[in-house]
Amino acid sequence: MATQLKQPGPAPRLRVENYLSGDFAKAENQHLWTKVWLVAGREEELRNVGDFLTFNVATESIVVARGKEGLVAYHNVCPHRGRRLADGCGRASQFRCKYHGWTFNLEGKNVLVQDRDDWQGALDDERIDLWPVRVDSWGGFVWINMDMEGESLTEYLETIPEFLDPFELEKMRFRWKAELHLPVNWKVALEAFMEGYHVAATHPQLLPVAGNDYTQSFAQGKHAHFGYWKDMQPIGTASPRLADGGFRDARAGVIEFFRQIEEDLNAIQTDRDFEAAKKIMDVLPEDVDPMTAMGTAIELGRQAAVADGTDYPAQLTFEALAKAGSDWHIFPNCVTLPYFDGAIWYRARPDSRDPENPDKCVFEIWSLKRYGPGKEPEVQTRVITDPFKEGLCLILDQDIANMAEVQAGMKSSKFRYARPNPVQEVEVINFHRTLEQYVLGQAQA
Amino acid sequence: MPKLIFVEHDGTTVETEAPVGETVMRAARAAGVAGIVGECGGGMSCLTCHCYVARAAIDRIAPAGPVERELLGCVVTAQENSRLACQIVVTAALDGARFDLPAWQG
Repeated sequence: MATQLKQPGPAPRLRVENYLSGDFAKAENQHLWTKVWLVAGREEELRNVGDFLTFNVATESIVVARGKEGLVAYHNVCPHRGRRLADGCGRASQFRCKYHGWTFNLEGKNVLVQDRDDWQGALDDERIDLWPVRVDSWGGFVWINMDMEGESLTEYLETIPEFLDPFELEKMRFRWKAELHLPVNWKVALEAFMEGYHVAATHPQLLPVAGNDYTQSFAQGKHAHFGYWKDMQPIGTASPRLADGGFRDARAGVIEFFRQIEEDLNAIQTDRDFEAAKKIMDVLPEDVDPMTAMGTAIELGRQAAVADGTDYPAQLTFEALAKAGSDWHIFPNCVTLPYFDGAIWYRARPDSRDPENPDKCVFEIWSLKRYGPGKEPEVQTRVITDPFKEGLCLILDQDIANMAEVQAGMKSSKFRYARPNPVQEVEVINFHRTLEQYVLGQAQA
Repeated sequence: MPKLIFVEHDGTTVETEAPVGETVMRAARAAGVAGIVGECGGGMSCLTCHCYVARAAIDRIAPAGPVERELLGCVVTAQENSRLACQIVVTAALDGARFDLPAWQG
C-alpha cells in the first residue's frame, strides 16, 4: 500500500445540504440515478428464461428479465397510458398491462394492442415498444444503466474487477436478505459502512478480538476502499487501544472473533467458518502464536468448504485478500465486505414511494455465501419497517442506531458541514466528490 | 357431453365432461385444473391458458388465428402443438381429447 502522506491543506468538509436538501435529492433523481450503472439484483434471481424482477429507484422503475438471448431490461411503463407493467418478481413470457391489456414480449416489442384498428394504421409510425435500458452482469450481480450512451459496465467499474474478481462473488448465493425502511438519507445509511473509524466507539465489543482496528482508505476513481494495512494484526488479537493484551490463548481469541461475527453479524465469515475455527483447540497447542492460530482457522474453513461440496476461491491468495482490503464503496449506492467464504453487500436508495424526500431511504443488506451444489437455501427478504423496534443483530443494530441520530443531528443550526477523517474516511470524502460532479456539475451546465 | 383430459405438468390427470360450445379454458377452470389460469377471462391477452394439444386431437380443432399465433410466438414454453385453451371451443369431435399443460403459465 502507498505510504500515507501528511495531508496538506485544510481539513476536508462535506456539505450538509447533500443529506438534507430536497433540491439536492431532486437533482440526484435527475442527474445521478439515470446516468450510472446500478445493481438491480442478483443473477440467481433470473436463472430461467422468463424470470423477471423489478427495480425501483428514485422516480424510475426498471424491469429486468432473462430473455431467450440473455438478460434484457426495460423501463417498467406501458407506452399507452403510463401504467407500470410489472410488479415485484416472477416468471412471464410477456409483460401485459393490467389496465388495457397492451402486451409486450421479452424482446420489448409490442405484440398486442386491443382494438388496434381504431388507430387506422396511425400506430404503425408511433413508438409502442418498451423503452430499453442497458443491462450487464458482473460478480453475479445484474447491473442496469438508464443512460443508453456512455461508458460500459467494465469501464464504469474501473479497478474493481482487478481487486474483487478473486473473491468470486458470482459463485456466492443469498444466505439472507433484509430490506430496511429508514427515516434517513440514503447516503447516511450507506456511509455507516464506508469506514472503519467508527468501530472502536460503535462496536467496542469487537476490540478485544478484531486485531488492530486502525484503518487506511483510498480512492479508486469513483469508487474507494479501506483496509487494515498499517500495523496489521491477526484476528483474535486485541486492539492496541486496549491496555490489556486480550486473550492469553490465541486460539480462544480467534474462536471468539468467529463467534461474534456469526452471532452478531451473520455475514462475511460464515457458520461453516465458525464451526471449522473451533477445531483449532484440538489441532494447535495452547501457546500457539496468533498468526498461526488465524491461518489454521482459515485453512480449516477452506477444508470445511471442500467437504461441503464447494471450496474457497482459487485465485484468492492472502496477497489478493490484503490488496483488496476489507471494504469497498461501489459508486453510488453499494458497499461490500468480501471474504473467502462469504460477503456482505449493502445497497441504499431513496424510498421510491417518496422519492424527493431526503429523509427517507430503502436500505438492503444481503449476506452471501458459497454453497455446495444444491445446498443453496430458498431465501425470502425480511422487510423491516421500524428498525429501531425490530432488531437484526448486535453489530448491525449498533450501526443502525447511529443513522437516525445522524440525520437528526445534522439539522442542528450549528452543524454546517461534516468533518471527515482524511485518512480513515476517504471512502466518504471520495463519495461526495464524485456525487457532486454528477449532481451539481451537470445541474450547473 | 364430450370428455376432456388434462394432464398437469407433474403428471396429475384430470378428466372432465364439458358442454358443447364451452371453451376448453372454462371447462378446465370449472374442473379445477391448476395448470390453466385464464387470468384475462378468455380475451386472448394474458397467455395463462397455454396448453399442448395431443397429436391425436389436433385435426379435430380449428387452427389458431393470426393473433393467437403471434401471441404464442412470445410464450417461452411454446411448442409446435401449443394453443390458448380460451380459443378452443368444445365440439362433439373433441371427445377424448388430451391437453398437456406447461410447467408454468404467463
